[in-house]
Amino acid sequence: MASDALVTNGISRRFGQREALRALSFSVRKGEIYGFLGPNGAGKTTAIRCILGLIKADSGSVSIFGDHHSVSRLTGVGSMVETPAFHGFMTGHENLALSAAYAALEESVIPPALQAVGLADRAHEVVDGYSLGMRQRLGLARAIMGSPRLLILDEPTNGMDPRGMKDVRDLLVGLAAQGTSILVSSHLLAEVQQFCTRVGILDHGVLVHEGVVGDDLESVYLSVTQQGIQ
Amino acid sequence: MKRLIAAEMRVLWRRPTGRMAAIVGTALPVLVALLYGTLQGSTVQFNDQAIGDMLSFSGPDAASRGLFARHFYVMPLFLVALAGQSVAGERTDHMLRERAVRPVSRDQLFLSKLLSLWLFSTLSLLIGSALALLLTTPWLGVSGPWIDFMASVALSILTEMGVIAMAVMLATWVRSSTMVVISGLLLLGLDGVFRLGLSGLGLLGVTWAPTVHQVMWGSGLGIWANVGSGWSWISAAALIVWTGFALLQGRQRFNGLDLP
Repeated sequence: MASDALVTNGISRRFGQREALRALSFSVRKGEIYGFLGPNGAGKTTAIRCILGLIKADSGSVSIFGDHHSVSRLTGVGSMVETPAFHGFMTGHENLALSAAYAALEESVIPPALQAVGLADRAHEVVDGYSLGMRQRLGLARAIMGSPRLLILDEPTNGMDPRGMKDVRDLLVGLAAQGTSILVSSHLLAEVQQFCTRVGILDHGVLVHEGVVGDDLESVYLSVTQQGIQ
Repeated sequence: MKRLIAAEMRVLWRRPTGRMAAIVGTALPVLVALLYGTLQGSTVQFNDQAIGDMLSFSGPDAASRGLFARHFYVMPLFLVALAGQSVAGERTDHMLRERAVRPVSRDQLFLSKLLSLWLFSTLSLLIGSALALLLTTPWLGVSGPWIDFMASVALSILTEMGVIAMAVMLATWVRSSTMVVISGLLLLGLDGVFRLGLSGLGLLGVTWAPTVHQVMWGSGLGIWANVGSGWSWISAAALIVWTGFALLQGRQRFNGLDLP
């Protein structure tokens, strides 16, 4: 649909005998925060990797703002997959400059992004000296620099303290209010409940539930996902 | 593309191995050329002859020795290690992933890696050779094998591309720079053993052995040293073919890589 920022249409991916994704179809509407939930190994990260072209789907298609091309569809997309990686021997600013070069963005987009995640004063220190939370913030700065139209974030609050988690929440809500569409995967139901508009719940590679976030999210989640520990 | 190459050059320079490669690759030819110059007039005997009388001395003569020192395992090993870190290492530590989520094709990513490594090695080669010439020519004299030296430097650019292409190809198959270095050494060692065998067969009168020897990868990589004598067009063509093969194979593997 024209109002969709991201559409996946029946994407499947198999790793050997294991079917990581089975005909996954869902969409993220413009300006919404879509929560991507599911137990460990449900296929959330595999789906995100397929969307970003990091791994090829065995079948199905992905379109971002109507663009199906595997390269051009990533224009205007900011992302953070799992634990963000950096060149530890380079400064935070230099790492973002490298990403800016690949995204064809001017380096002037870096300071506002660092400011937004509260890292402006540490930007010229080498990343090897950063804590896990600071790396997570830097990853977020890399994702949001250049004001992307679509943000894809995989566990963005991993390793952050409660203050950092709240800051991220506020940042994402603010970006969505400015029209950025956001796909965010998380394990934390309470967190998703606080700022997501809609959720999709994935289990064993299948989208088992999709709907508007309500107060009953936990009971819905527990009823549609399979028990992991007997 | 220019911006991507510049960005990758910056990463190479900031990488500890890269900085060391740049410094050693540039300084070593200069130091060796200067050391060679000190042998001028030496009365130290070798086979009842003074070393100073056995060798020829001029700026290009000394700089040629410096070039030889650069090629003698030093720069090839650095280049293989750097290519390993840039591709296999970055695949493992997810830095390739961070580039691939941007709107660039795998071909652009592959080329930016390859060309930055090549430019990096070429700059260090040219600066080192120029400095070696500048420092030794006023001291040892201008009369020397200029054309041979210039040709050796030009062919070195091609040779180092061959080394980089091989290393990048290997780096798409393994997951660490150490494995790239080990597999690169194994490959070149195997090539050396084959060439030794072919030389032996040639001495025994096997007519096809010398020709096969010339098309081996190692013979191609050594063409820079054979400008004055022992030049082989077959080896030069072999270097181009092997480099092309490594680039195509590396590109194909790189394009199909999952970047988790």
